[in-house]
Amino acid sequence: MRARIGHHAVMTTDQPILQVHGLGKSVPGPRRLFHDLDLAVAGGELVAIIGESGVGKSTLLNMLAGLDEADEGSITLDGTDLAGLDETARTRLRRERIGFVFQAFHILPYLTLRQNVALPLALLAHDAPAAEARADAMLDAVGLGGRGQGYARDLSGGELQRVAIARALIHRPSLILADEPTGNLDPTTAARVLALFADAVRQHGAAGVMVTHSAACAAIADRVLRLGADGLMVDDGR
Amino acid sequence: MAAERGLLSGRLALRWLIAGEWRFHPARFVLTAVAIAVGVALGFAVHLVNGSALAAFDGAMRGVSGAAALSVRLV
Repeated sequence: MRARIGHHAVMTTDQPILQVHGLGKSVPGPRRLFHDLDLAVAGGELVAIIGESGVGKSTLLNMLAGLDEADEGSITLDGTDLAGLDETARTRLRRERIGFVFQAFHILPYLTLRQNVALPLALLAHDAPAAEARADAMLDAVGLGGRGQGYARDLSGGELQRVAIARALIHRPSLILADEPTGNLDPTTAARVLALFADAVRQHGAAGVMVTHSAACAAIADRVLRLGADGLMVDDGR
Repeated sequence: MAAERGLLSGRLALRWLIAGEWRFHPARFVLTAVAIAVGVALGFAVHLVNGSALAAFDGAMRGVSGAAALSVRLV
């Protein structure tokens, strides 16, 4: 299943939306996770980051989202340097310009699916009818049209991840971050969800960064980078 | 001001979350609301009792060793 998301044409911009320069991160003790890491992701481009467990993939994702601070280097999103923002401004930037897709979906069980998808708009002070109408359109786009009044308990893992993708995209973010988006899904469902995710990123013209262990998951990306102690390197083992 | 704006912008989300919790766990929701009300009432009661005890103690001390209410002076 390859559903179209919204009515946007596939967009790729040459100007990077996300720029990372000389990024470094240490953990307590003598160990350094990585240093001198450079990365640029353009709009409509999906980048997969792979690497061994404990190499710092999730930490890197948290840093890109402004949830974790860098020890050295800079992260620029849409021309805004994250290091120059205080906690409130970073929270606002996350709310307005970043979408997340998690391995465990994190669909709130006490909200309807429509409310779950509309939640980013609700946090951005949109009024309820407009937010819910857009949520219905997003659910329709991910193949769950007419299920807006249902709850998370009624859905399978693959369907929940599609709801999560709709939620990540509804406020038209510049950057979409995904942490092992198919880690909890069987291979067939994972392939469907991945195709949907990749289409969504490209059609919305957002920059997509996906952290994964799965080679199948990485294969759908435009670029695959391997994270190591010396930074990111192009992975040729696809 | 920014914090106030943030709170206001999340009002719809807050409404959904409270309504969802109420729909799924009404007893727990009522119990939580009652517990909070009782806690606030208890705190206020302690504040009142404390103020009243201090005022009574102050009055007693004044009666024993405080300034005289009436004094006679040589003219």
